[in-house]
Amino acid sequence: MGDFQSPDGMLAGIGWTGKRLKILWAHRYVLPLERQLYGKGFTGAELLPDGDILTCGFNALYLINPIRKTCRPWLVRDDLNDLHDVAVQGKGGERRLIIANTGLDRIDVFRGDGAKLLNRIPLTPLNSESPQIDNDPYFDELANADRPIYLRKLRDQVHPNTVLSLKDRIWVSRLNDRALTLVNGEKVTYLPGLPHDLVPWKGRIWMTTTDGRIWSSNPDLRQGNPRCEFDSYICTGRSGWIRGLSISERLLIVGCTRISRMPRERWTDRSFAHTETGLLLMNRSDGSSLDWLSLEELGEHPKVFGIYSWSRQ
Amino acid sequence: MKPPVLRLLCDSNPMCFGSTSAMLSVLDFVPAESTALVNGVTAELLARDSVVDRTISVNNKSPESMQRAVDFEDFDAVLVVSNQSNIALYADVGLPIFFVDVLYWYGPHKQQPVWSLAERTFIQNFPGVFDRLESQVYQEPPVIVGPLIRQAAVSSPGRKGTLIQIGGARSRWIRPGDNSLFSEQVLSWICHQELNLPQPLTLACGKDAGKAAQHSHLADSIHIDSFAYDDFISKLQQTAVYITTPGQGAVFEGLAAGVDLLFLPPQNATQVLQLAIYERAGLVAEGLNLTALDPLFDHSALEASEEQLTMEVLRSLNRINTPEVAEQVARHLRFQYETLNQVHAVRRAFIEFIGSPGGSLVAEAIHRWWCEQWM
Repeated sequence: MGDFQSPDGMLAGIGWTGKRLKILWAHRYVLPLERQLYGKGFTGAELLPDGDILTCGFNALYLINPIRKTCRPWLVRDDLNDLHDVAVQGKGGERRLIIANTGLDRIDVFRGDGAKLLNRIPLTPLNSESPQIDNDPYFDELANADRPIYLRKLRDQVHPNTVLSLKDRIWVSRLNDRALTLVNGEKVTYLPGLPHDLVPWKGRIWMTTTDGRIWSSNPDLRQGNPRCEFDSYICTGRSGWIRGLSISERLLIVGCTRISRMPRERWTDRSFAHTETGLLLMNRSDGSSLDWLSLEELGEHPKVFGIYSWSRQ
Repeated sequence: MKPPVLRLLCDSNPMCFGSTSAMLSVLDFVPAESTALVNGVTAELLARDSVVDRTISVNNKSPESMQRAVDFEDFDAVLVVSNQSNIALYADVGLPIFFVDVLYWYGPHKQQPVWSLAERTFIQNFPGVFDRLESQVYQEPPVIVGPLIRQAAVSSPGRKGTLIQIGGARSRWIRPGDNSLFSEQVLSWICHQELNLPQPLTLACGKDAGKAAQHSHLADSIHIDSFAYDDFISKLQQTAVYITTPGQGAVFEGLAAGVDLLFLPPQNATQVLQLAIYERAGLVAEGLNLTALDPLFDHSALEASEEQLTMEVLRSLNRINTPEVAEQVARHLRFQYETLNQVHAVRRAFIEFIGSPGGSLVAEAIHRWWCEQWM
């Protein structure tokens, strides 16, 4: 998590009693001063086999041990900007790190230990009709060319949100294209919303769009035909900017973040006056609401980014 | 079309560590399979750095040795840092050249074949570079880039001790323990009673220079080590005081780290000239150069070739290997330490003038070129 009103990163442990969601613990991490950017905490993450969490900050990867509450910079480079997600591909010596270097509209591939850059895959808009964002005031702040790249807000055109490694292929959710594709731009699945999370489940890729809908698509098709599994707003009446998705046999959980101004990409046609920050738990079989957990108490304006199923080793 | 992984040959000048550390600062940002030519002192950095995939041990000052040791078919391009010995060879075998000059301000002229044969050329910024570039005519002008250095990822709290660095301290003309006693001399300056530096003391240098320093009776009072580049940067970040010979990269690294930085006298030709530039820029008070420490220094050597000036530097260092000069240097170091606040603003302005680290710019150009080949 992050917080719009702070440069800190946050991690919260949430428990499910079978009847209620509850906050078990929450840690706030002060990131190195020279790497801080106000409003930018942690974004996407990867749960490692040993229980540690490799998470993106704006311009670095951090390794968190949730039990010891430690957090240390793990991969820090000056050519990282607005990282949104990290995925691990392969195992052992063949392990690769896939990073959504979102500000630079690029997917960077590193050796598993992060010590060597192996490939840079630039992303370009799928078509010329993708929305142009040149006039967005969001980018006027901290755009000064005198600032180092890693502390600047750059005008990305594709905005890769999430990377997913599945059967040795890399999938990317592309916000401005409203699409899911392979990293090379093939196998396009267009979505009627702004895609964020990608979770593999029972042979399909499940996705969120930030308006609250949850979709699934068959990754084997040449061109995807997304199926709307749930609309969390219709199912529960709760709404927010949706980021974070976790799925189990019985449960489905999504993260919501309160919206205080209409984002650069219109969210939905609904008013954002009633949006909230918290976690929405649904019954996966019928989409019924099982519980809602507010996370407002964790900060001034906390921002949910990812949800991962974690248990104490 | 998706480009395959670039197979990059890496050729840095085997003169101390400067060109090699500059090379590594570029390789950090190039997605490539990197094969580095190693020759003596450069192996100490290249053979234990994670961005280098393979090394080839060869005398890369000799095109004949290169032809025997390197199969050029295995490579798509070559990145050369300040070593012009093999340029004609690369051109002959049709290997695209990316050339970085870390000493563009130095030398009699800049019209060697590399400036027209290379695919792209880059110059590390330094006082005098801009004026010189303005006076030259090239088919495609070189790009001036900021310091080719690595920086510590994040600052670490609790700085302690003193780090003294003299670089690789070995070149084709300088052989530590044989014709140079510089590392031992440094110990006599640093451990002088005039100075009271934060403890512990660490001397970072090439392996041969380290071995030579071990012969000093003062070796027990200092930890002597030959660091991998990343370990050196990490050590620099944790140190309270940093004392360095007047190289380029080593000085840039210290300034960028914001550590208390003191200068040592020079140990080779370029350092004599660089120290004069640092003095003129106000980064350090006069009095440390060989022209000041050695009344017999042959000033005409300043206009001579690098080899001739290096020989005069070696003779001069030998002449000033006396207790009197050791005391003089130690007093100067103490003066630098006590007046650091007076040079702070000038040093800050200097590092701003040099610019932000340039390795990623060189790397971007190589990567862009490679992608263009497959469009």
